[in-house]
Amino acid sequence: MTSPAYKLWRPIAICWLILLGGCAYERHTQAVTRIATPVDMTGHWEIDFARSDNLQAQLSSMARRVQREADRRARLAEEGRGYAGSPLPNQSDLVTLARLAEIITEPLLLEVIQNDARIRVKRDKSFALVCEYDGSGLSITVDTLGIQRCGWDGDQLFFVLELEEGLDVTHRLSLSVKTEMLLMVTSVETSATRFPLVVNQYFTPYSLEALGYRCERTLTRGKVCSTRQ
Amino acid sequence: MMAIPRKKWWFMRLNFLLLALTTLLSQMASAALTSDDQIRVSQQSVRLIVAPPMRLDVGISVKTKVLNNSGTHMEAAFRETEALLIGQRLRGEFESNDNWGVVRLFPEPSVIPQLSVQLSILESDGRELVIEAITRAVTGETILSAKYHDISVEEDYTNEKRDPFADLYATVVNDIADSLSPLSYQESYLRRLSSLRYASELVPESFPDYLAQDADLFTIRREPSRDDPMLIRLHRLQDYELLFVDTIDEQLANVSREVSGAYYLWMRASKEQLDWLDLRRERGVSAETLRNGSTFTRLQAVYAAHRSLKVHEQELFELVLELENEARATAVYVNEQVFKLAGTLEQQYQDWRAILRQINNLESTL
Repeated sequence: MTSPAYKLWRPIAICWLILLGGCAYERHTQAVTRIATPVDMTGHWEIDFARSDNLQAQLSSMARRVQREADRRARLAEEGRGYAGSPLPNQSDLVTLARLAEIITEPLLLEVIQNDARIRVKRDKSFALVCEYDGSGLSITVDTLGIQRCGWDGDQLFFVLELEEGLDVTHRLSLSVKTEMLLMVTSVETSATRFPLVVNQYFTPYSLEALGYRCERTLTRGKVCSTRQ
Repeated sequence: MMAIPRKKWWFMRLNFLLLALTTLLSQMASAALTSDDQIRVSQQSVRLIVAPPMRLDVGISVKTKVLNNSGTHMEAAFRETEALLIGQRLRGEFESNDNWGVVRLFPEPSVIPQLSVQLSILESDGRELVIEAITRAVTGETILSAKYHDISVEEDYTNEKRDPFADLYATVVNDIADSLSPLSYQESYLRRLSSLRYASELVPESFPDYLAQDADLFTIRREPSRDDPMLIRLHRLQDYELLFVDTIDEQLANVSREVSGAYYLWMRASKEQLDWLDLRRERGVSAETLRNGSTFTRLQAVYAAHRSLKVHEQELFELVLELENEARATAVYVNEQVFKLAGTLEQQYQDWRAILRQINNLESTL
C-alpha cells in the first residue's frame, strides 16, 4: 500500500537524484578536462639552483626506481604471476636519458611574453616554446621533425613535443603567485623505454634593468641597445 | 710566360674556339627550360640573356599560397613577408637589365604599368621554390602563364652573397622578355592604353567611350586631347597613386634589409634539416635500431636538428612580427596634406584609392 504523500514525493526524489547525478557528473567532467584558466606568466625568470633538481640526483633516484621495479617484476615472476609494463631501461638507456635531459634543460633564463592569443617562453641557448590558442583547448603544430601539442591544462601551461625516433619531451609550467616562483617540469622519454626522466626547475623573477642595458628593434634604426633605464 | 710556336698557337686557338663554343652551347642549354607537367624546372647558372623588345614599365604583385604547416599566426605573417621578399627579389632581377622601364611592387595588380606580373608562391622551404607567374599586358592579354620550380644545391649556400634561387628569377625574367616578342603593339600605344584604363578604373564615368572592351581585352577607341583638364587631373592622381606605391616600397625595402639575413639563415637551416631527414630515411633508421650504442647520438641529433631549425625560424618569425606592426602605418604627403593610412597593404591601397576618388570629386566640382 502506498500513501498519497509517498506518491507525491517519489517523482520529486527521482528528480532530485537525477539532479544530484547531473551535478556529480559535471564535477567529474571538470576534474578530468580541466578547463583552461590561463595565468599571467609574463616576465623574465632565472633559475633557482637551490630549489631545482640536480640531474645527477635525479638519475640516481630514477636508477633506484628502476631497480625497485625490476625487483617487483622478479618477485612476480618467481610467484608465477605475469606483469604488464614496458621494458625497463638498462644502464645505457638511463645515461642516454640523462644526457638528453641535460641538453633539454640547459636553459637557465626564461622570458615569457604573453597575450590573449599567444604565449612565448623564450629560453636562452635554445628555441622558444610557443603556443597559440584560440580558446578551443589543445593546439597542435606539425613540423618536419615532429608534432607539438600545447595548451592550458587548468592554470598550467603544457607543451608535448613528439619528435622523430620516439623522443618525447614534455614541459609543464605552473606559477606560484604567493612565492613568485615559476616551476617548469620537464619530462624526457624515448620509445626504447617508456620510463621518463623528470626534471623540476624553479625560476624566480629578475629585472631586465639589472643587466644595465636594454635593446629594442625599430624599422628605421634596426636593433638598438641603450643603457637608459 | 711560356712561348708558343705559331703553328701550335693556331691549333690552340682552334681548340680555344671550340671550347668557347661548347661552353656557350652548354650555357644556352642550361638556360633552356624543361617542361614537366607544365612546371618549368630552372637549371643551374641561368643568366639574364634576353632583352625585352620594348621598354615597358612592370608592376609585380605577389601573394603566398604556401601551406601554413604549423597553423600559427606567426608562420602566416612570415609567409606574407616572404612573398614580399620574393617579389622584391624578382624586381631586382628585372632592374639588373637596363632595358626594362620602371619596375614596381604593387599591393595588388595594377593597370598603371604596361606589364603586370602576378606572382603566387606555391612552395618555399629553402630547398625548393615553386612559384606561378602570370604576366599580362595592359591590353588584358595573358602573355605568359607558367609555374617555375627551382631546387637549391649545397653550393648555393656556400656563398652568403648569392641567392639560392637566383636561377629561377633569371628564368622568369628571360621568359617574360621572350614572350613580349610576338606582341604587335607599340610601346607608346600601351602607355596611352594604360593611362585610359587607369582613368576608367578610378573614375568610371571619366572617359566612358574611349575604351573598347571585348571579353577581357581592351583597345583604344578614341583618345582625349592632351590638354583635357580631366586627363591632366587623372594623370596627377596617377602620380599620387605611384607616390603611395613608392612610399610603401621604401618601407618594404627597409623590411627586406632587416629580414633578409635571418631569412637566408632560415632557408639554409631548413634545407639542411630536410636533406638530413632524407639521408636518415635513406639509411633506413627503424625502431629496432634504436636500442644500440648510438641511441644517444641519434636522439641528440634529432633534438639538435629540431632546435636549430626552431631557433632560426623563431628569430625570423619574431623579426617579422616586430616589423609587421611598424610597417603597417603609412603617411603620404600630397596636396599640402598628410594622409595617414593603417592596416594591411591591400587595405591601405584601397583606402588610398578611395582618397584619390574623393580628391577627384572635390576638384571636378570646382
